[in-house]
Formats: sequence, C-alpha cells, structure tokens
Amino acid sequence: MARKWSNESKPYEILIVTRLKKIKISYIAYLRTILDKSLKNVKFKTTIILVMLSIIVPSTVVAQLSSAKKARAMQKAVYFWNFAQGCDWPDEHRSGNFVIGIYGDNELFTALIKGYSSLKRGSQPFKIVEINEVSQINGCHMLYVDEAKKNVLESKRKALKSSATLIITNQKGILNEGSMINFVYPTPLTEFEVSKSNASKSKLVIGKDISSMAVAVR
Amino acid sequence: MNQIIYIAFFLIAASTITAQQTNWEQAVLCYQKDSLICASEKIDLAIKDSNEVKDPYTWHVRAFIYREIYKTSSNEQEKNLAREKSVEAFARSLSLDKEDEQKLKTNNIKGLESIATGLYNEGVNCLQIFEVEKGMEFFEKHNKTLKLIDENYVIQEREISIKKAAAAILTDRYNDDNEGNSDAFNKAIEYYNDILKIDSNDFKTNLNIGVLYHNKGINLLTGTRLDLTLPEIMKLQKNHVFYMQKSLQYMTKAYQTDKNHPGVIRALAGAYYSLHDDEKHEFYNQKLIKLEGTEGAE
Repeated sequence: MARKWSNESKPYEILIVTRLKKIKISYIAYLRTILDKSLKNVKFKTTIILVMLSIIVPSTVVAQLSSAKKARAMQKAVYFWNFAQGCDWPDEHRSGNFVIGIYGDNELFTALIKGYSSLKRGSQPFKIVEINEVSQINGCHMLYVDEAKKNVLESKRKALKSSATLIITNQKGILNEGSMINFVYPTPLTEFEVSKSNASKSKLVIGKDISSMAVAVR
Repeated sequence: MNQIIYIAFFLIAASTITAQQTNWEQAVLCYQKDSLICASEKIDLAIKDSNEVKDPYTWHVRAFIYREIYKTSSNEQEKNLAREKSVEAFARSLSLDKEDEQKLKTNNIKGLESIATGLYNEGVNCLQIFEVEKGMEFFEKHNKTLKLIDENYVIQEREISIKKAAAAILTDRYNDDNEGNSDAFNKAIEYYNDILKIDSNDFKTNLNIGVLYHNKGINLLTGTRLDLTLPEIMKLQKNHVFYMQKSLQYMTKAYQTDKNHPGVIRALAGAYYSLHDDEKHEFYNQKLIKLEGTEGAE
C-alpha cells in the first residue's frame, strides 16, 4: 500500500509543479510588462544635480591672496597688543594717547584701526597712525617699519632714540640696525626676536612674557 | 432538475479550484483586479504558509504588490513601510532563486534597481530644497538596496554627483556661519574625500576641498580676538598652518590637472604667502599677474 501510494504521488507531484510553473510563468510575464513599463518612468536625476551644482559651487571658490594678507596682518595685530602690554615706557610717555605708527604696511594699519579703535593701554587710548612721510614718525610709542622702508632707521636714529619708540621690524638681521623686536620666519609660523639692549638705549624695558616667547634674545 | 445539478456541480468545481489556489496566486488575481488591499492581505498570508514562504515566486509577487502600494500611497509612513517590504521581498526572492532556476533573477534585480533609483531621486529632491541630511539618508538607503543585489554594487557616477551637491550645500552653510556650522565643514570634507577615493584627480573636488581648508585657515586668524596672549596666538598660528598645508595638498593636485586656473593659482599664492614661502608665493603671484594682469585681489 505504501509503495502504491508512493508510485501514485510521484507523477501527481510533477503534475502540480508543471501546472504551477505554467501559471507562474504567465504571471511573471504579466509582472514583467508592468515592471518594464514602470522602469521607463524611473530616471535618475543627474541633470538636476549638475544644474544645482553650477549654481552653488562658484560661490565656494573664494580663496584670495588678499585674505591671506589680512590674516597675517591680524596675527601681527595680536602681537602688537602683547608688545604694548608687555613693555615698559618711561613715565613721561604714560599719559595721553598711546600712538602706534605703521610705516609701509597698509594691511596692518587697517587691522589695527579696526581692532584697536576702542581699546586702551591702561588709561591711554590707542591712536593708530599711518606714516606716509618720515617726518610723521616723531612721538610714536610703537613704530612698525616694513622691509621696504627700513632706511628710516638709519636716517632717524637719533630722533627715535630720544622719543622712547619701540621699533618693530620685519627683516632678517635688522636687530643690528636698531630694531628692538623683529618678526622672523624660521618655520611657517610668524615668530619674533628681541634686542633688549637696543630697547634699553631708548629707556624701554621688554618684559619677560615677551622675551620668553622670542626665538632669540639679545 | 438538470439545471440544479449543473449549478451544484459548478459551485463544487469553483470551490475546488479556489481551494487549490495558493495564497500568492490569489494575491496576483487581486493585483490584476487593482485591489491592492486584497492583494496585500493574500500575500501576507502567503509568507505565513510554511510551503509558500520558501517559494521565490511568493516573495517576487509580494515585492510587486508592495512596490505598487509604495507608488500609489500618499501617506508618507505607509509609503516608506511598503517600500521597505518590497525591498525585503525582492531580496528574499533573489536569495531563494540564486541560481535563477525559476527565471526571476533578472526581474528581482530590476525591481531592486528601480527602487534604488527612486530612493536616489528622493535624495536629490531633498538636496534641491537644501535638506542635506535627509537627502543623504535616502542615498544611504539607495546604496543598501543596491548591495542586496551584489555586495560590491556601487554606482560611482551617482555617488560623485550627490556628494558633490551635498558638499557644496554644506560649504555654503559653513560659509554663512563659520563658528556655528563647524559640523558642516567636517561633513563637506568627508564627502569630498569620498569622491577623491573614487577619482583622486577630480579637479573641482580638489579645488573645493582646497578652498575649504584655505578659508578655514584664514578665518581662524581674521576672526580672532586681538587680546589673545602670546601662547594663545602661537597655538592659533599652528592651527592656521595646519589648514594652509592641507589646502596646499589639494590645490597642488588641482594645479597638476589645470595649470592655468586662476582660482587655483590664487589659492596657491595665498597659501605660500601664509606659510612664508616667499619664493613659491612669488612664482604663483607672477603667474597670476600674467594670466589676469593683477595679483589676487578680492
């Protein structure tokens, strides 16, 4: 009986599978037509993205050389703040405006004007002066002389000495020519060296906070 | 009398036929009649049946039914659920019919690809209204769907396009508020780097990532307080140098692709200026002057 059942069931099973396959194949053919039709409507939207990119991307390309110059000027402006706070001037120079003269660096002048206009050194309000002529350098508490204007150090040596002006420069080896704080670039960083002896000749004292951060002290 | 016997015979025959039909077959009949509710009910029953659940046809039909529900539904939650069910069903059908014995493979793949494309398009739609996070979620779902077909299935063209757009929007967001949107900066860098993994020479990507780093480095200094101490400004400078060097890395790559692009040359001149490399700064500055007749002014 068991064997007979087995013999009968085998073709029956095949029959069922065959029937189902036929049905399945026709259903699948039907589904395929639906799928093919619907797939035609699905396109990916590269064009839209590209249009969008062409609108947005140009606004991101704003790397400017002048921005780098502004950044360096801001960096120096922070140094100036520290130099003003960390050095000592003779008593007779501790009243009235605290004058910072900038000779030959318009970016630095702009950064100081923007940043220092409402600040004070103790009770002395900052006054930022752009030096256009050598005659204007008298009376500065701090004077920045750019590389291109370095000759002024020689021509105005006496006047600068008597006015207790902290001379800040930006050229290799210029401490020998009377500069007191000089920006140097032994690495990609902006660093500085100091000449305490040059400062003391003008009755100025460069504080420890400054000299401890200098790459070289004379 | 004969008529009654005939009707009785017909009813018995009809009920026998119905009884012989599997749930998925009934689901297809409902589907053909455009009754998606009926079709989904039947196909849900089919996957609870111990025999039908092993049949790739069951899952194949289920995938189509839920795909149709996803397409026609106006309810967002229902739509997402139906799409997930459809994806799962296509994948199950594909895995059960791995050798393509029942000739379903092609359609299962097409179905998954079609849903993936739909997800990609929804991602694009989100980007068009600047919803980057949501858009990229759709793109991740798109990638996962494709990987159900093949672990290594990637459509690079789409990845590049969508990540470029997303990074551009994020860059814009960062430019609007440098401090508040630092996450946007990091994410934009991440997307640009993903693109460079696919094509390390992509000019615009190298340019844009270079600009991002450049501006980040510049903003650190231009946005600084003036009353920082010397150690604080030194630390800030080190960060500035780090970003400018990163910018150089990408800008140099962009320059290798296009040696006469003013934006690239301007950025290189600026970066070398920031890093106090006067010789290279001068080289690029002179090149810019030759190209534009002026140095890199704003």
